[in-house]
Amino acid sequence: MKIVFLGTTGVQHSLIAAHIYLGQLKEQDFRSLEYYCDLSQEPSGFPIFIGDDARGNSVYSLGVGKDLQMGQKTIENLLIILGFSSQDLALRPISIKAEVFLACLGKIPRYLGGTKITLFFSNIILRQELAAIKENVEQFCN
Amino acid sequence: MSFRIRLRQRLVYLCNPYATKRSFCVRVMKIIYHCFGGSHSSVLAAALHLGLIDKNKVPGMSEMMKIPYFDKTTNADFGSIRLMGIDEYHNEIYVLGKKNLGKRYANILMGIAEILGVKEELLTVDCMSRVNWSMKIGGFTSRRMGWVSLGRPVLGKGAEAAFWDLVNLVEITRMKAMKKVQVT
Repeated sequence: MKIVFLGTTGVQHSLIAAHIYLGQLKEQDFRSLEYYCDLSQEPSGFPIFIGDDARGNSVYSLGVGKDLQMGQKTIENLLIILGFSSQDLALRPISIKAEVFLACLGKIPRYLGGTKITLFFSNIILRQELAAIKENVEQFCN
Repeated sequence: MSFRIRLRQRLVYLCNPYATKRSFCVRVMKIIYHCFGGSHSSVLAAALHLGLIDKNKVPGMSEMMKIPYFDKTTNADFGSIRLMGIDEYHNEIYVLGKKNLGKRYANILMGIAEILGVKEELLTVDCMSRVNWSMKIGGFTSRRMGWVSLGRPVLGKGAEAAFWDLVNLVEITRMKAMKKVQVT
């Protein structure tokens, strides 16, 4: 089975949620996480493989843009037409209050310091939202 | 190809009322035409692919309005993958409205298909490159603003102007689909 954590981007809150789910998040400094705030991964649209859980399920993180619900709906439709079910691929949407702001930060061009600005604000916002993300993940685990 | 995927293909064949002996050995593809609203260019392209309209003659507005989903979608249809029909090679033809998410949305669909091991079965076609300003303005006025009587004539003119570009896109897609389909 595949588990995909969906977010507006695949390299911020959904990535952290996937690491929390796998029990890999040891500290609040997210910079050590692979692909964290690496917005170059986003245009590819490919789910980022995070690891395997204890049951052997592959865990991914995926960004679907600012309309999370629409992204989820499309992927659910795609699963049906490809002949799969939620037992083959489970979607775990992760929503936080500042997700639109985070998505907007990603639009700042690199030559204007977009990467550093995104990293700086993402750290602050995601630390504040960490409890909400953990709560989201716990809901899925139960 | 894993046993599970092959088994699923056999089951799809057995459940498919259009299946022939040929489709038992040929991979059936899912072709998704997508545009902003999934209401005009993608529907027109899918209709061309399925032969619902003649590709040698520019259709009039009344003819286009007979196509299922053409200028009939609502906001709730964004993100829904809707079946338009099955072509002569048993490929399933779908339409999708993805707002302004661009090529990335197609990549997401392909990415999901890839992790499920069925990338070869899916073909996504972005119709936005063939959409002109008249179609954009007419479509926006008709669907988003709800001013159908004002937007539809503008849309019709735009669709007529974009028709041959869409025919070209569909022909390219059919070629791609034929190349991608492999005997298993």
